[in-house]
Amino acid sequence: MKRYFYLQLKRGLKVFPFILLTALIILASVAAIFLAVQSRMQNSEENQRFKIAITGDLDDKYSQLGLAVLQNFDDTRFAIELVEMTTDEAEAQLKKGGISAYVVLPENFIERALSGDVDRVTYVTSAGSQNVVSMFKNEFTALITDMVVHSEKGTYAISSAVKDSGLSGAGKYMDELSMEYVDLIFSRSKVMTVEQLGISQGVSTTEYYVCGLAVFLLMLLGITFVTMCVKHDLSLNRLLVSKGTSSLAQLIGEFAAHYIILSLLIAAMAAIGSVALAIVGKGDLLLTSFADLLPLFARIFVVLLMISGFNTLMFELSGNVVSAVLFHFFSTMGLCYVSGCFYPIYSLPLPLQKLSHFLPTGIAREYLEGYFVGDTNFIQLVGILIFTVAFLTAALLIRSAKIKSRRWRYAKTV
Amino acid sequence: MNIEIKAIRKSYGRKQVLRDITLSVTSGKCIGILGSNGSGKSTLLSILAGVQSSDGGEFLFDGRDLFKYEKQRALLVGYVPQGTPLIEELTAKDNLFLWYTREEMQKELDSGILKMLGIGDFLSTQVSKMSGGMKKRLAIGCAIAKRPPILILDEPMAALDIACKQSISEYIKRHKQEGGIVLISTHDLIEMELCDEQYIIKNGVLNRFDYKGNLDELVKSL
Repeated sequence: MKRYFYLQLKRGLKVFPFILLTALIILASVAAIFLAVQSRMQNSEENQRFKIAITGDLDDKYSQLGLAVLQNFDDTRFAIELVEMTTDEAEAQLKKGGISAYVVLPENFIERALSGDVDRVTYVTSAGSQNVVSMFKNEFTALITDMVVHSEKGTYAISSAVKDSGLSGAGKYMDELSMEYVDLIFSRSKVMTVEQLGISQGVSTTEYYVCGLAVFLLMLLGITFVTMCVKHDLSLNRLLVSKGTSSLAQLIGEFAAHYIILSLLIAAMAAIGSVALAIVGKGDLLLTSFADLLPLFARIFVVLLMISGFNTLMFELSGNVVSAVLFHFFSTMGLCYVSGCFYPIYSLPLPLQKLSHFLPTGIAREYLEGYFVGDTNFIQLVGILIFTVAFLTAALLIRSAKIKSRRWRYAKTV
Repeated sequence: MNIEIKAIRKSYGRKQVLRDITLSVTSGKCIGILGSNGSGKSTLLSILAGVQSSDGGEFLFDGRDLFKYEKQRALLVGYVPQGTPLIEELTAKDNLFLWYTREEMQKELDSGILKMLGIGDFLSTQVSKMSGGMKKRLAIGCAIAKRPPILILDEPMAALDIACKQSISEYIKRHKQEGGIVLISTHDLIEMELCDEQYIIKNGVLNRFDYKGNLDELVKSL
């Protein structure tokens, strides 16, 4: 077994330049796609304002004044554009996607409000936009309706009481009261502060994506080994079994060699990446100093154990290079997607969120996150080792079956 | 030295591939096993080589059942499977290193079997750049490391040129002269001429066949 491992390692080192080149091409492609998508999203987010139509009773001068105030002074003007239109037009626009929602002001809304008796406004949105943003818009609409109705009711009740009691000069105080109220409405954003506690295990969004994408890339790099590791002729393995080297011993030798080459590949890519960043003057992009990064690399090398096991299984399952590439790629994409490597885990449905804790990629992501929050992640470490053994056991069963299979015996002859 | 194969059985699911295969071979003999594709020749040889297990039967070497003594079997049997049991990215020397110590390899290259197979001529050549004949000679060179007395060859001359076939034939003759035993699965007439006895596997049953150069008779028997 020792010699078989040594020769597998020698074989890996021989094709290492090719593997490294392929890995760099994959990395560059993924980085280019990621940067392009990020830049597009950023631009669209920066330029995007929610367009909301105001429909219904808008003839009143106070309605016009209110709209003008909201459009010119309120904080919402940076995020929301209000446009006037009829209810039918708004409905048609909403169906076409021209607006995000529309608000219907009931008949005599302002008039009734001035008399302290205001109806609720109706907020209409499409079914597809029932997300967190529309939920906030609903809340916002309800807030205005309730606050306007009840506060105005209170203001007018006081006004009536002042008039009925015959107090003179109360108008000045009533104006002050109204101004206080308007000021309260306009400064409502000062009432609350949004704090981010972190996404998963308390890591920041950036750290979360670093871990998620690192797991994805580490998994993806397995594809660079496909031409070397996929076996279409098992005669050497059959000869080894005949000479007393069991399938288990062979597999461990191959796994160990693969792990070492994969680790070398990561080290080489990290070195090349650091030099490239330094050359283009972006050295500050590195999260921290090299010494501080060592524990992160230690975790990556632990994760690589599991990924090497996963790769070994993928190569064993495939009979040729094309199927191996496709099988590996789609397995990686699926596992990484469900484990929240591409999107924050909270954006996935609850069952998938729970499932991600038991998936190899989810466990690997959480284990890497431990570096940023200073957690040892012992459970995840055990999970990684269990998955490594599970992958190798499955690969062993397949290898043994293939060695004994008639179909594989005739797979290729000289 | 003699081997006895007794009542070996093997099934793949419901299909019985080998039915009570029984055979006795003495020292210095070469046995040819013929049969149509999928008849069970390779299955029988791989069972004897220890690659897969049988459903029953014995493989006796001087009275000792090698199915029960794995380490002895590994030393006594040299097996050349179909295909290329070599690491393509490495040289012939690297591949030999998997089976020989440096001293053994040098000795065999200087005056032994590896010299006879002409492996010294392409020792530093990468396997992926070798011809089919070179690969097969190297594969045999690997399989016969430690000079096992029983050689099991699964279609060793398939798709090889005449010169290469002759080189392998020479080696088989020499192995017989030295008292070794050879079991060959074959479709090749040159290989059949090397065999002292020929057997045909048909419907899982092994029957003696005396090949006297009549090809029509052989085809009918398969």
